[in-house]
Parts: sequence; structure tokens; C-alpha cells
Amino acid sequence: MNKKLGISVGILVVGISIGYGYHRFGASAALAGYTDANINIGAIALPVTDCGPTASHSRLVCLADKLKSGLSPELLAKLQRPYTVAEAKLWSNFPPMGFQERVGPTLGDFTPEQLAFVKAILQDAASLAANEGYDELEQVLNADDYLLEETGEAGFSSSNFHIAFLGSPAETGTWQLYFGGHHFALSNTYRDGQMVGATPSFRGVEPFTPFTMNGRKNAPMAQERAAFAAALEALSQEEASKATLSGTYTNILAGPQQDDAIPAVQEGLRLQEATPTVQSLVLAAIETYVRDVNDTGAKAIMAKYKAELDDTFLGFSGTRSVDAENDYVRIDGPSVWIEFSLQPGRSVPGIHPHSVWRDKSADYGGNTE
Amino acid sequence: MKSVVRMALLLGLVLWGQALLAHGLPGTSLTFQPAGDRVDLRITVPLEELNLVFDKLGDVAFDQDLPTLSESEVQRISNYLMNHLVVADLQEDIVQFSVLSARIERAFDDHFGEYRLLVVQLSSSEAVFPLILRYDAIMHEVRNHRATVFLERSGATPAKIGILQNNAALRSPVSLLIEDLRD
Repeated sequence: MNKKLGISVGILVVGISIGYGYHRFGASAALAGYTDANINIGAIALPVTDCGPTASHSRLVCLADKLKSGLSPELLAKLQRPYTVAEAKLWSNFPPMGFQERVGPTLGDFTPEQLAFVKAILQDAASLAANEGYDELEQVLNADDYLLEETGEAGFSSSNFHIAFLGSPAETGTWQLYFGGHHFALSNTYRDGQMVGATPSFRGVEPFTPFTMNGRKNAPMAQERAAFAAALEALSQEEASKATLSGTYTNILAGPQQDDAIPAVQEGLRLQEATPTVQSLVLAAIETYVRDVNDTGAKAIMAKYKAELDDTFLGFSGTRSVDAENDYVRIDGPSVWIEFSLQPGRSVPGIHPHSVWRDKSADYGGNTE
Repeated sequence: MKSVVRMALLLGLVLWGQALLAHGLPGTSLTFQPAGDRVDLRITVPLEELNLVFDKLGDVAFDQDLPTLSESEVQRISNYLMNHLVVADLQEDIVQFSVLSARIERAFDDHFGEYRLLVVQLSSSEAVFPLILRYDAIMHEVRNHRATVFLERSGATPAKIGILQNNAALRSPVSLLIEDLRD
């Protein structure tokens, strides 16, 4: 009892969870507030509007106004909310059976005509590149429809994704386009007509192997995995040694409700010390996230990340082919933070990714309240 | 009061508020159970996380019946936990714990489905609150692993008092101040 304890104080953080082996569930009744319907967003025709032909903030505001004008007072009150970072933080990788704190109506609350405006808004805010931006979003929604068909488990389905306007879409002031559901979080923040933040941006998908749903092939995150594998496999032995992170990662660190989880000290291979080939491959991996945003926003963000590349670190744990359970890759720069983690399937056999893109200064548009 | 304890006390109080915002989901749980002049402690650990740092416990194939842990396996678990668990009072006197039992249970999480849980029940020597917990089992290897700490008064719902995670920057064990909520 006389032994003395030397205490060194670590860090206290908010909670997270870790997955274990897939489990097949039986059919079950829908959760309160959710409809478990396949809305097949890819088949919805875009509305004919006078909002202009090309993506822009003005067009986004115009589309938002048109959506709002056709809603019941109750639905409008759910969609149009005051701007607060507290609500912006209510995103998650979980489906509704694991997280029901999201704000805004679900896609299942809208009529087909209203859904057409929702689709147009999402296409305007995101890029139209194949397997990125809106296309990636569509495929993640298709994955939930696939899971509902495969498992019958209440909570899965494209109808259960939420959309909200935090703050009024307008040419002045601050607002955020909030969209999220199982394995998806989009957080585009605008101030005075400019996009000032596109993060936190969460992507995940199950199944990870290509699947057919809603009349198309889906593999929304294959290109992220391939980009990371290309970068890691291009490393020399010395570079790989420096890039190897100690320990095991069974999930990402800076996930939902983990806004303070980014370590203060960068780890891994400093890209200033890497070959030009590795540098360009890491930039290509970063682009698979930044290109989820429409072209105007993406160009400015990529320019910033490219300027900071020398002080950006590449780290990994597990295999360099990034195709096994507990494989983990991290890009940690002065601004950019990207994690990609492969973990066991929850609902179907096989591994599936969780991934987050954060910006250390521009998450939630740089706002704190 | 020694400076190191003061620091732990201060940070524990500062961080307490943050912990209450946590969205509790499965990881490790440590539930302190005051019992007279001592304290019991129940630790639950998802088996598949434990097996990343520990040789496999018995036959834990997912579709088989739950195994009963042998005496030697319980001893191994005890040895491992004692290397990663330290509880002390504010005078920095160590509280001695011993393992009373260990078993594997089925558990279920809405998001993750079914998984297996190692449940270890420990009991302490005399313990006077507040206590300082230092714990890094699994977290020393699995960097994203977290441990939720609860205090369970007799007959009451366990109260969450904090969440611990290894600190990649400090590479140090994590610690937390635990106060008896009776006061």
C-alpha cells in the first residue's frame, strides 16, 4: 500500500464504437420517424427551373427557395433550422438504429416532386464526377437499399437520410447544407455566397465489394481505396518504415462526435521527404475526397492542400495494399486530415470502409457556435 | 497535495464536462461499485478487440457456444489487467485489486450486431474516494479504442463519469479522477 503512483495525465474524449463480425438480422418493423422505403434517387428526374444551368451558390439558393416554397409548414419547420454548430455536429456514420439525433426531415418525408429539388440541390453542392460527389452519394444510398433487401432490418434504406438547411440559404450570412445518414455526412458551409467549409465529410459503405442495386453497378469507395494503395505501394522501404504507425486501428479516430480527436502531433512520413511520385499519389488520394465538392470549391481547397504538402504526413497501419481488416491510412497536414479504415462487415460478409475528411481550420466553416 | 495529483485533479474536473457529451457505444467499460470501505470494479471488454493484444481466450469461434474460461486463462487475464490498471487515492497510495471472476458473454449493439464480451469482476482493498484511475488495456495497442468509466451506487443506474483514450501525442497512460457521487 505504500507504493507511490506517478500519474501522467492523458486525454479524455467523447465516445466511439468499434465493430465486430457481421450479423444477419431478420425483418423488423420500421423505427419511429423512418419509412424504410427505396426512393431510388438515381431515377428521379431533375426539376425544370429558372435557377440557371450551371452549379453556383446562387443556383443553390434558388433551388432551396423553390423546395421550401412547396412544403407544408410542418415540413418546412423541420427543414429550415437556425444555424448552430451544435446541430451541425449531429452527424454520424450510424444508421438510425444507432443514431437518431440527426436533424431535418428524411427523404421519405418528401413527395417525388420535392425529391427532385432535393436531388438538384445535392447535385449543385457536390461534384458530378463519376464515383465522387453526387454519384458517390447516390451509390451510398443504393447500398442502404441493398442492405434493406438483404437483411430486412428496419432502419436501412435510402428514405432514411436526412437533409436540413442550418441557417437560411441566402447570398449573405452563414448557412450549412446538412445531409446525412448511414455511412454519409455532408457538411457544406457557406458564408456570404462563398463555400467556407466542406467538412466534416464522412463516407463509408457496406457492402464494399461492387453490388447491383437500383439498376446500376455500385462501388462508391473503390477509388479511394485504390488511391491509398497506389500511394503506399509506391513507397520505398525507408519511406514505408517512416510511414508505419505504431499500433492497430480498428476504426478512425476523428469520427462522429469526435471533433477533438485529431492528435496534436503529426505521425508518419513527412511528404517533404518523399519522392515526387509519392507526393503526387498522395495528392491524388486527397482529391478523391476534395472532388466530392463542386468544382469551384474543390479547386480552392486543393490549392491550399497542395501548398501545405511538404508539411503533410502520410501514415498507415496494416497492409500497403489496403485490402484487409484493420488496414488504416491517414493523411495529416496543417489543414487536411483524412482517415480510411477497413473493418469487419456488420450486415453482410466482408470488410467495409469508414473514412472521414476533416479540415483543421474549416470544419463547420471554421465556426464554433 | 503533490503537484502530479493536483494536475490529475484539475484535468479530471475540466474534462469531466466533455465526457458527459459522449455518445456511449461499445468499447471497454469500467464500472466502479463502492462497497463499504472498498470498491468493486467490473470491466467489460469486447473479445475481438482484446484478442488483438492478447492470445486468444479459449475457443471463441463466433458460431460456437460460449467457452468457459479455464483457471489459467483467468490468471492470464488478471496478469494482463494488473499491468494496465492502476488505481490510487489522492495520497498516491495504490488500491490493490484482485480478480474474483471472469467469463465470456454475448452482447448486442444496434449498429454492430452481436459480439462477445469478456466480463471481469474485481474487488479492491480499502479504497477512499476520490480515486485516480490510470488504465490503458487494449489502448496501448489499438489506438482508436476507448474505455467508458462508470460509477454505480448500490441500486442506482451507473453514472457515466468519463471516457479514456490513449493519447497519440503524449504516448502516455490515460488517467481520470473518480469521485464518489454520494457527496
